Amino acid sequence: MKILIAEDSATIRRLVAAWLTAEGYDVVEAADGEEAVEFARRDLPDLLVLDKVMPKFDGFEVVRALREDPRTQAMPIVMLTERTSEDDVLGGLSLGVEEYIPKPFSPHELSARIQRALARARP
Amino acid sequence: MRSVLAVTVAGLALAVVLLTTLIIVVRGRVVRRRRHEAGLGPAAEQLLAQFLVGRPRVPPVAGPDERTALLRAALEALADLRGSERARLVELLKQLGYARQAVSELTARRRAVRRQAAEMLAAMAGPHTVPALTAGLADRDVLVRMTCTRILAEVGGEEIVPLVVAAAGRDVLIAPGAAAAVVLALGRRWPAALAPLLGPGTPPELRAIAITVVGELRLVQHAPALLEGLDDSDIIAAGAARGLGLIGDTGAARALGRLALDEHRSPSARAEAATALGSIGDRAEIHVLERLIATADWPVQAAAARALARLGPPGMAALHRAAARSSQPQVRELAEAAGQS
Amino acid sequence: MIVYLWFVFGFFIAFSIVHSGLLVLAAIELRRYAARSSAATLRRALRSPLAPAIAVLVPAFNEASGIADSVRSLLALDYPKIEVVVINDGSTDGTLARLTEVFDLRPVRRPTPPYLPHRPVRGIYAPRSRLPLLVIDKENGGKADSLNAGLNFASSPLACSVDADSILEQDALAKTALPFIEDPGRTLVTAGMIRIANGCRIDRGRILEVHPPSSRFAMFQVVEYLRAFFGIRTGWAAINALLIVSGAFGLFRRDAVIAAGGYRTDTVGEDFELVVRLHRTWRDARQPYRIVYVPDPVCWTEAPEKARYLRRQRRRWHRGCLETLLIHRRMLMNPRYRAVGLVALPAMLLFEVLGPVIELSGYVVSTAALLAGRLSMVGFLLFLALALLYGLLLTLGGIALEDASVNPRASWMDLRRALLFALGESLGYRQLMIVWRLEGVWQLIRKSGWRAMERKGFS
Repeated sequence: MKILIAEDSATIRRLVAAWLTAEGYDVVEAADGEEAVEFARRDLPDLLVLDKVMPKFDGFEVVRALREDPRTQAMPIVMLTERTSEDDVLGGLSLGVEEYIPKPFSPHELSARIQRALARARP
Repeated sequence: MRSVLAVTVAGLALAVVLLTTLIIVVRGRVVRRRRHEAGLGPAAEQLLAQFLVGRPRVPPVAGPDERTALLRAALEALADLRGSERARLVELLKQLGYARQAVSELTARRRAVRRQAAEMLAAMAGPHTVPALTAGLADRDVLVRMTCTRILAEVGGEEIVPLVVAAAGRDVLIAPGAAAAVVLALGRRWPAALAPLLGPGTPPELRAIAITVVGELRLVQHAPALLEGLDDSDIIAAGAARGLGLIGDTGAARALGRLALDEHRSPSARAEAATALGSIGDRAEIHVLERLIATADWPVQAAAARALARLGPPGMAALHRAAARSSQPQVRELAEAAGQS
Repeated sequence: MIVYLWFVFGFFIAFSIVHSGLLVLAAIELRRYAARSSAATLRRALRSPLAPAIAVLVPAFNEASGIADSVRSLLALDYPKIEVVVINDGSTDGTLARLTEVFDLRPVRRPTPPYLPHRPVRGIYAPRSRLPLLVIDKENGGKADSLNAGLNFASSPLACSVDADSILEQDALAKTALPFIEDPGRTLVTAGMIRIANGCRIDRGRILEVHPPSSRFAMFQVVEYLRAFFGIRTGWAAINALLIVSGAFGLFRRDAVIAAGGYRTDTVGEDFELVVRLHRTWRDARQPYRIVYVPDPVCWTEAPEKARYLRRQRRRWHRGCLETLLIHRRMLMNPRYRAVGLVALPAMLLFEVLGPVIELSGYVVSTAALLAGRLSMVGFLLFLALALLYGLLLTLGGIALEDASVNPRASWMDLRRALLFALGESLGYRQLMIVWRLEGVWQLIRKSGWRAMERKGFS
């Protein structure tokens, strides 16, 4: 299974990539919002792990861009978000983000949520 | 004229040349440093990633630049991680000597170094750092002091609480935001310790902060202290009313009602009291809110209308009654708006 | 004539001395800022439940093409508690319809709070989802009027005024809210740094890549902005005498602005006038306060590239400047107003308002003196060189400080261009701006007449 991780903090990105690789996934890294959209369209991963705050396009804008494209419309997305309680914004802008993981996060939990999202996507 | 002009022009021209040279030199240094850091970054990040994934043996980290790069990457990771992985990372940093380094730098001569050391300790603090942090409470620089105070509140044992409280009180006037962060940390870990800060003996700035924190953290055990605060100055009373509303203390409803009706109090204190009544949900005070709509000024009226809307059908009925009786168009608008949501 | 030239000479020297002082203050302030604002501090402030809510006020007149992207990017800003309030100022191009369509707006009933006066509100709209967005549709009344309406309806303790076509950095609110979190009681306003978006690659309302503009006018303005922001404003802020908070972006304590009376609708320099009035009101009340400048880029704006629009902008700025100084003339050289009254306002009057006149007259008189034989050719050239250098020094200072700032753009190409344009700026661009600014003064006089200028008072 291929996973795209989009995160601007290089340390976190490498960490998550290494973690997921160790779990057997095929991982592609994107360092900002523009790369996230580009690589998602190019590689069509099975799932996208997306940071909310990134240079160029932020997480929500990436989601919108991908939802506009029929090829990436149904791609499950797990979003890492800084904010603690902004259901309003999330609700209004999310357009189908599978899971929200608040930062600070635990890599174990991230793994579990990814598995859940992937399981849901494949009926 | 000419000679004066010549001298001045020469002087300015010299200044321009010097400045331009300075700019070029500094820019060169910045570019070089950036490139250097960027070069070291990936190795450090990779090392950390591998460690966290499970490779227990970490190769020794050689030069000072590599150590700095590793520290920077580690701090970034620490900020966003929690749980067992984070704890392992902190252990790694301790093993590599960073905690020791931070503790010793906390007593450095340069203020910038001490500040950075304090921030480092904030990221990887634990019980072993308490002695150094306690010493840091007496630092000359307020940022260092307050950072140490906050970390102590987060990781220290119960015996440091009085020290933390004293430190917050000392610096609340020059660093109110930092003091608030300390009180917040204290409220999360040692909620009972906030009790002395809530009484009238505390300086008002600190007391106001403590009241706000109690409200934000919904610390029910301090509701009686908030209740007392309603009788104090307008600023304290407003904060106390807000806190009581957030906590949802039904026992405070009567006192809040009295505060709201008191025309000698500030509009903001009265409005907070009215809002709190809506949050608490005690329908016995509906008549208070109804009277506010009839007699008070806009901010209080608006708060009372919103509060009534939260009190179910009896509240809405009271709101409509007040609107019907009032000659002010804004009251009718408030009623219509409240009815809609 | 020579006597007059001595006077102009004195002016150049005074300018250089005062602005060198500002540069030094700015350097100190930059270091202070770097120490206070680490990424860790920012993050902690963002995650704290004590972070104050911010209402982003967006006055919009005929912005149908870009408003949706703009609002979406504002809603996605990295800050825990935001509400976006769009004030549709009687647009005629379907701005409201576009917003309704994109955000699924429905009309809601909200009574108009009576805090500040403004043109009547035609309707209030909110999205069906729980997005924290409010759209106020009102009769056309101008930017100041719209901001007053926004201030009325917002419910957050802090309010940020943003131009509809500006682009904010993701952490703009976090950085500018930090001073309020550090000192909630005293902080009234935070200004941030504005950068020029021309030449940058922009998509979906975001800046994707930073490039210097290709238009010469825009590049000159880039250099001007560096000088203004790094050299001048940071310096004034260091002594709590910051007068100019850009209209493109400013973060205010809502209750403070309302207490001071909101924005004035009868001046084109409403942002400048409000800040001066805040200084005045708080000093009059003898309340401690601070108006802070964050020397970190937070907002991107399109600079006019065509001469016609640039001219209009400069005229307007200068008119606004002069109008505000007239309104608050009682503050000038008044010790009650400390640094603002004794130093900043007189400096603004002398260097920004009278300066163009003095410099221009210097050129004229020196040419006349040359032609009349009173000044030698060497003297004349030296005089011109002086005029060139005094401005150039300040601009270079701004560029130097940018390198010392938190986010320098470390690229040689950028630097070479900046230095070249800094030189060119003093060699004709600045002189052109001077002419246009004086046109602004002339407009003001013609519009209101001398009598009106005297009457324009603040009781």
